[in-house]
Parts: sequence; C-alpha cells; structure tokens
Amino acid sequence: MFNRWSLGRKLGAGFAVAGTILLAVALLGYSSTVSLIENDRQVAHSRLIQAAFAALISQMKDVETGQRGYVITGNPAYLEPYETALGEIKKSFDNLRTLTGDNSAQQQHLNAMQPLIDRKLAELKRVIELRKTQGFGPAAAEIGNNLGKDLMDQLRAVVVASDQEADALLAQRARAAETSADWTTAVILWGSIAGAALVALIGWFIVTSLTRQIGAAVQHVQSSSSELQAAANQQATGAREQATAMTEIATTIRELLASSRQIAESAQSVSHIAEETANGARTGNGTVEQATDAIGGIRRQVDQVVTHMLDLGKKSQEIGGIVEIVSELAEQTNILAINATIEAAGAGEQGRRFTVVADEIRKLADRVGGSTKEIRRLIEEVRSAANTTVMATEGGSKAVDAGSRHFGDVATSFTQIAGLVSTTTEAAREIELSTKQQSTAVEQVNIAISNAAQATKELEASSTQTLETASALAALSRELSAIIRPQMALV
Amino acid sequence: MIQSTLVADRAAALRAEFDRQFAASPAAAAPVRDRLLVVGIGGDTLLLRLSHIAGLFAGRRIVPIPSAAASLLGITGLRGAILPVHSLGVALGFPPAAATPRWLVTLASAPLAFAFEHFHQHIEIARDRIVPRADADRGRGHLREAALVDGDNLAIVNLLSVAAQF
Repeated sequence: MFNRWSLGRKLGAGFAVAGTILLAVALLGYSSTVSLIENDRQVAHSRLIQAAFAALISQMKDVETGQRGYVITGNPAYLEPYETALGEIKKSFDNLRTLTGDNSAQQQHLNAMQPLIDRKLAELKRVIELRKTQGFGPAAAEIGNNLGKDLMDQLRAVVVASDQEADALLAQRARAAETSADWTTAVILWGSIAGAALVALIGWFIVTSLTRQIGAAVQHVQSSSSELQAAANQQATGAREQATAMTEIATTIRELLASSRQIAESAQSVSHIAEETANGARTGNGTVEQATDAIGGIRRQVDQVVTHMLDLGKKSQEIGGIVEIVSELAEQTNILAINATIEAAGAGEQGRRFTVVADEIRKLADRVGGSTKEIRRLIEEVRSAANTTVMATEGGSKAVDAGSRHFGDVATSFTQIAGLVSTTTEAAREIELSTKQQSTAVEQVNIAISNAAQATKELEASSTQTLETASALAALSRELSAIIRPQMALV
Repeated sequence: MIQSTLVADRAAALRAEFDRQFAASPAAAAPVRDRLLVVGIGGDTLLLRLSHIAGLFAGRRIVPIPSAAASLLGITGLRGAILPVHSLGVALGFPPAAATPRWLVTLASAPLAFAFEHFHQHIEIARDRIVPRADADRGRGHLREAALVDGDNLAIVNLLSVAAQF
C-alpha cells in the first residue's frame, strides 16, 4: 500500500508520525514541566505560608519581648518593638488568611490562632498597662500567672500543627514532583528514544522507498531523457527539414501568388477583351442585320437585273431577227448585184457603167453582210453575255439567298456569340473575382506560411533547447542516480 | 456603248462610201480582171467564174425527182424556166451533203443549175493571178486552175466542163 503512496505523501506521513511523536513527547514533557512548575510553585507557596507562620510567631515573640523588656525596665523604649510588631501582626495574619485561602486546614488553623492572638495581645496590653499604672509587681504577677505562656504555647502548637500540615503537604508535593520529574524524564528519554527510533525507521523506510522509487524514476528519467534526446534530435532534424520545406513552400506560394496575380490580370484582360468582343458581336450582329437588309435589297436588285437581262435577251433576239432580215436583205442585194453584174457583162459596153454601179452595190451588200455578221456575232455575244449574266445573276440570286440564309445563320451565330461572350465575360469576371479572392487567400496563406516558417524556426530553436535540456536532464538524472545509488552511477 | 458606237461608225462609213461611189466619175479603162465567186463545197473553198454563170440564187425550192444521176437533186423554177439542179459537190466527186444545198447558180451555156452549200463573197482578181493547178486530176478533172485569194491558193471550178457531163 505504501508503495503506491506519492513521495509527498510518504514524506508527509513520515514527518507527521515523527511530529506526532515529538509533539506527544513535547506535550508530555510540557505537561510534566508544567506540573513540576506548579508543584514547585505550591511548594514555594507552602514555604511562604510556613515562613509567614514563622514570621507571625516571631512578631508575637517580638511583642512579648518588648512587653517583657518594658515590664522589667519600665523603659518605654522597649515598647518600640511592641508597637512596631502590633501593626505587622495584623498584616501578617491577613497575609496568611490570603495565602491560605485555598487551604481549609490552614484556615482552620488561622481560625484557631486568631482568638489566641487576640487574647495574647490583650494580655500583653493589660500587663503593659499594669506596668504603667501599677508598676513592676502587678505586672510581674500577671505575667506569673502563665496566661501569656499558655497562649504562646497554644499559638506555637497551632503553628507547629500548621507546619506539620505544610510539611506533610510539602512532602506530598515533593513526591508528586519527584514522580512528575521521573515521569518527565522517562517520557523525554524514552519518548525521544522511541521517537528517534521511529523517525529512523520511518526515515529508513522513506529513504528505502524513495531510493527505490527515485531510482526507478531516475531510470525512467534517464530512459525518457534518452528518448527525449532522440526525439529532440529527430524533432530538430524534422524542424530543419520542415523549415526547409516551409521555405520552399513559401517560395512556391510566392510564385503561386505571382501566378494568381498574373491570372487575375489575364482574367481582367480577358474580361475586357470579352466585353470588347461582346460589343463587337453586338456591332457585328447589327452589321449582319444591316447586311441582311442590304442583301435583301441586293436580291431585289438582282431580280430586277435578271428581269432586265431577260428583257435584254428578248430584245437581242428581236435585234437578231431584224439583223437576219438585214442580212437576208444584204444577201439578196448581193445576189442582185452579182446578177446585175452578170447581166451588165452580158450587155457589153453599154452595161459597163451599170456594172460599176452593181459592183458598188455588191460591195455595199458585202459590207452590210459583213456588218450583219459582225452584228450577229455581237448580238450572239450580247445574248451569251446576257445568258451568262442571267445565269450568273441567278447564281448570284441563289448565292444571295444562300448568303441571306448564311447571314441569318451568322446573325444567329452572332447572337449566340454575344450570349457566349456575355457568359465568357461573366465567367472571366468570376474568374477574376475568384482569382483575386484566391490571391487574397494565397497572400493569407503566404502570411500563414511565413508565420509557420517562423514558428518552425522557433520550433527548431526550441528543439535545440529541448535537446540541450534533455542532455542536461540526462546529466542531472545521472547525478541524481549517483546521489541515491553511487554504485549505479558507474553504470 | 462601244459596240453601238462601232456600228454607228460602220453605218456612217458605208453611207460615205456609197455617196462617194455615186459621186465618182466613171472609171477609166482598167486592166483585165476576172470576176469569181468564192463558195464552200464539201468542206472546201472553191472559186466559180462569174463569166460561166447566168444567175445566182438562194433558198430556192428544189423539187426532187427520181433519177439515175447521183448528182441530180431535182428541178426548180428560175426566171420562168424549169431547170434541173445538180449537186456541184457530188459532180466534183465530193460526198453528198447532209442537207439540200441552199445556193444555186445557173449556167449561161446550158439550161442547168448547180447547187452548193455556202456562198462567201464575190471577188475580182487580175487574170495573170490565175494559174493552172498541178493536181489537175482532183475534182474529177474540173479543178485545173487556181487563184491566190487572201494568201490561199483556191481551185477554180470549170463549170463548163462539169456541165458537159450532163
């Protein structure tokens, strides 16, 4: 059970037992001393009473001596002791009455002495009066009747009885004092011996127990200090590594912060560009709508061009028909001119001038024919160009229709682009805001990392201090082990 | 705009030439020249002497008639006379045309008409530019002369020898 007690409890219990023993011995010694002192005081008190009784008898003797001297000599000078003793007797008797207030036997003795003293003093006074008044003879005769002697004997007997009473009491108190002194001596001696033995036993027990416990604790402390050293070394190493990692993390965090700031700036730029793109998309949408209207106008104009081209083709055909007529006329004219030439040649010299005219007519017909061919070719080219233009215009019309549809699709796409760009703008703004928040968070993380790095440095310093403390603790435990178990200190 | 301007210029030039010819005095005696018709026959361009021809016609109706002659296309009415019409190309040994030739010439020496596909123009060249052809057998011997026209040496059809076959 005691092994489970703590060191303080054991020490407290040991000191409590030792203190209790010492307190008991002290109390007993104190009680015995007090008893001795009281006994001694009572002895002194008894001695004082005896002395008071003796003084009272002495005063009574002085009174009687003065009375006898005066009676014998008749010299009043001898009455001086008498006069002096009269006052003292009263004081002494009162003093005795006070001193023996707690002693009924002595009070009885005083009660017995008081009438005797009064009668003695009255007898002395009567004798002195007789001496004064009647002279030596009557006074001597009065003395000779032994009244005074009897009174003095009775007083002495009472005082003797009182002395005997006091002596008996003194003897009783002396025995009590001796008994008390013996008891005190025994108590102090054996109590001290027993206390010393018990204290030694408790001390041995406590020392043994404490030695065992402290030895175990010291071993624990040594092992713990060793573990603490190892842990402190590991902690210091880890703290250094952590400090290095924190530094790297701080560097990375700074780079991350720079990156997040760049992202925020890029997101802001994207947002601005997206806004500009949205404006451009809205402008493009308006432009596309305008272009769609313009295409509608172009389509109507193309339709008109087609109509006009068809009309042109028809007109060209009509012109071709006319040209064919002109060509036929030219051909017929040419034929007529040739035939006229033939006929004129047949007419001989008379037809020569007509031949000239026919030649001119033929030449004109040839030129007209050539011109009609050229006009036909031109008309064919016009018709071909008109057809090509119509085909191209129809193709253009189809292209315009397709373009119109495409522009419609483009307008829809612009609307979608505007919506997407708006979404992109919002997303870019959210990215910008989030990135700013992220930057703020990263800054906070950077601050936290800096604090953590500082804390890690402090931890490293603390680990170093812990290591030093562990080393000091190990040394201290060895010293403590050496103190409590010198033989173990060598281990 | 440019084409219309060219046509107007051409018409003005024709008008001026016509007026000039009418206003000109009769020409003095010119060197001997022969008049020729440039025609298209069987894909070739040949020449016909105007002196052999009595008349040139176009688009005349030819009524086919049965005949043993491969070149006879039919008969037609010209200037109050009914004339047989022969294909000049077939008569010259060319393969027959797919369609009936449009142009006709009548001969002054015989009541005959020859049909051919195309009539190009009427030319007049100096006689000394007409030379005999080296390949005289071509065209069944009816193309013995040639003339240089616009850089091309064109054969001249001897309508008289052709007509002599019929």
